[in-house]
Amino acid sequence: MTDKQVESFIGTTLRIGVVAAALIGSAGGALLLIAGAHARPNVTRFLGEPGYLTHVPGILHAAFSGNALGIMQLGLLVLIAVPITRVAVSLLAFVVRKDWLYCAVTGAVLGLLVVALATGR
Amino acid sequence: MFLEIASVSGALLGAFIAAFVSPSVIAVVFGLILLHSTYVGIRGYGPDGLAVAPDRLATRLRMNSVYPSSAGIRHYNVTAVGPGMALMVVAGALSGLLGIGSGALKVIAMDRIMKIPYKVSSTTSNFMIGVTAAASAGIYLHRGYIDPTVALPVMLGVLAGSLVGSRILTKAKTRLLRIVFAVTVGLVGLEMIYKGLAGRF
Repeated sequence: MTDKQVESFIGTTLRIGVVAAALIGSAGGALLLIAGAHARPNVTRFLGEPGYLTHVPGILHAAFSGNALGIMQLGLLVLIAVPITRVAVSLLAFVVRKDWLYCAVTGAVLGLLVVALATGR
Repeated sequence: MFLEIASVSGALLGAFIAAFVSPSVIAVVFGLILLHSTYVGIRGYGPDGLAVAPDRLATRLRMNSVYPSSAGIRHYNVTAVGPGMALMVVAGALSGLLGIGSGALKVIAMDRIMKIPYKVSSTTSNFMIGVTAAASAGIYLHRGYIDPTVALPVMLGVLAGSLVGSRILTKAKTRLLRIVFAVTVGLVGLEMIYKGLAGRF
């Protein structure tokens, strides 16, 4: 893989991720507006989100059972995943080139990101 | 990529601290950072590409590289990797604390301290912002700080805006952009400091 190929692959991945996030999120938003329930966000008091919207399995479960807020949160989750995917793609590129120094560096970054998203610490 | 380790660990630290710090303090810090960005934006950047002796760590990590300029391919060396990384941790911590990418601080770390050419440092920071923000976003999600009814419209607006922006960028005058950016950011910074001090959070 040349630098150019890696870069264009990363570019495509990023664009697909961003478009997917926007589409999924809009679908959820549209669903929420159609349903009409508490469509107006409550920003006067900060209460925190219901538990099922605060971790990856809960969001996936809510989204696939057709919950509008769950689908919206899934869109946001996809957006958060975009830069993480970028790091994963770079890691792959370094593995292909047998650049072990940068494999270790990139692997550490990816590890931190995945742990943060999966466990919240 | 190497600097991202420092930045990401800083972001995690910042997001961790965010739970224990009062919103007013965060607002004032945020405001000061924005004012600093304004200052940097107005003052602009001097010519770069001054030759520096490469740092031993930079050579070891193969950070010395080349970049395209109007005068053809230019070579650059990187120095002071240690201090640069330390500032990246600070930038990451602030980004985790405030929920921003703290690109301005990253550019300063690369541009001023590590002597990386501005073109390289600004584009690199653009890439790093997403990675740094993703680190703290995971933590915010678990704390229940991400409200889809607020975050989703913001996301859609930002995406639409950035698509339009990247089309306009090639035609827009850099000077005008810099002024618009500086004024906007400066006003937001002042507002944040005022609200923080007035205890409106």
